[in-house]
Amino acid sequence: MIDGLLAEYSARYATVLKPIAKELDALIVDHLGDVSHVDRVSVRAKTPDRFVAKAYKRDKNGNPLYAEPLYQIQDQIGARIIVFYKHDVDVIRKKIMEYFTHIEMRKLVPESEWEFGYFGFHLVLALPTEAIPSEIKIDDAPGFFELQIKRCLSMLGLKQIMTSVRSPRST
Amino acid sequence: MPITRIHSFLVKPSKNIAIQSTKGGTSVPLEGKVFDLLAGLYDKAETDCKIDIVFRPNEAGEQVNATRTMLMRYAESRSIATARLIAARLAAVTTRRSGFGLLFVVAGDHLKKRLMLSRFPADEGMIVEEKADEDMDVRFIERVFMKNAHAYKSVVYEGPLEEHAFWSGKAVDKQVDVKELSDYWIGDFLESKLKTTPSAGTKRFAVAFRDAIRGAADLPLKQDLLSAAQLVRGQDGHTISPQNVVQGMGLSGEAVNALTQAMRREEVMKETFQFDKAVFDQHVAYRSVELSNGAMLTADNADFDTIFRQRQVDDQTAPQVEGETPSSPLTEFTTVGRIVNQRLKSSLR
Repeated sequence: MIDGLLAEYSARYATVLKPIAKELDALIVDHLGDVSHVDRVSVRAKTPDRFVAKAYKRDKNGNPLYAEPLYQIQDQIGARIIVFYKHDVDVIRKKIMEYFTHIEMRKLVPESEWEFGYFGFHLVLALPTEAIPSEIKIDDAPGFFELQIKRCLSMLGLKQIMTSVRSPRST
Repeated sequence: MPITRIHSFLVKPSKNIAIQSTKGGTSVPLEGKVFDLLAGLYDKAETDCKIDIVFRPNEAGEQVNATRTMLMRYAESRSIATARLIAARLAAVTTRRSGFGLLFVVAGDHLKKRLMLSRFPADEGMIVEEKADEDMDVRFIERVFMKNAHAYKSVVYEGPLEEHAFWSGKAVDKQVDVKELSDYWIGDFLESKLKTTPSAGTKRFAVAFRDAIRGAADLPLKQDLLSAAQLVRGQDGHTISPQNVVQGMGLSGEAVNALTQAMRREEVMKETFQFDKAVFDQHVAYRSVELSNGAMLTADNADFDTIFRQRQVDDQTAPQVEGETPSSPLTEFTTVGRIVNQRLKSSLR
């Protein structure tokens, strides 16, 4: 059963999800336009092993969480937008919501201001039709994707801020 | 036949009425004329319902939607009790203006699962019965349904109607213009919104216009598209689909093809969204610069600085222009291209 789902998803990953992720990446970058302080945009399809691991998760009573994982798992495509400053998170969120329709929106707040962690938003958005390459049937594409907008507070993030000040996308 | 259950309810206008009750309802037999009509709608629902919608999250931004939960419960039990809750919800958002309606809740096992809701409005009519003595009995009735079987509202949901899945559907309103559909049927009853936002839909349409205009091989086609782009701006605030708009304009087949090809996918020509003129103008804009010597330079705003190279010239060497106001520096514009058209115009504007 696991092998069957793994094979089905692996084919979907290669022929449907990866091409859509590439188109969606370009679409998000285009919609963000010249918004300032965006460090990077990345869009990825969930890898087959991670999908299968999630598909077989169970609730606290031991029942399967997903009866139809191919339809129910909403983060088969995940996008992430990293910004430099806390106030940019909301600027980007508003911009994204101009162009995408959400069915979920959660604020991500670190336990404390002094903790290394993330401040941002988690959204589940309808996948726009134009993000589906023409050779892929619309019914084969996932209906939604997950998007996170984050400001990185880690040391790595601080280093990126310092180096990105000189990069063309930081303006 | 894939239809497994049909329930029907008379839905009374009950918006703003404190005590609401939806009683009764019936199971419709899976044969006969009513069934045949509904089966016809059910079979073509996917192509008939062209407006992509998604359920709204709750105010906390969670994936919780009361109407969706009702539909899921119905899909699971297919009982008249759960169907009645759907009818009660429709009644609670129905105004006197919308009037009485006949709601059908149709469930089936088409491929995965398909759930269709259709509302037919009440109409007025006469019943005439001939009597044996050549007399007639004429009666006026107010609750005639399906007098026009093509005037209805409908929505269809496909796929596993289960948690996490089933957040989108397709709707149609054959009674009124699309604007009212989004308010009463989509917004109030289904607690949903259009899948395509005003900015996304308008930008896509505008970019298609811009690319089609740029790529137009001959001048008449370019002019057709430019005129159409100007006319489209009049749709500000209206809920449209590009296909309906261009059909309404009587745009040439060549121009429609050019626009369709400029879209990333043909299907987006049919997607419905609220048109936003301000967004359209951001993407289909022409910059026109008037110079003190009488010259007028016009080009696509995005490419203006590439098409016309400009540099400030030294006031000592530049030709002086009579009557020139020195409010801006003397600027030299240069461009290189082939003449494809030139016209005399009676007026500059």
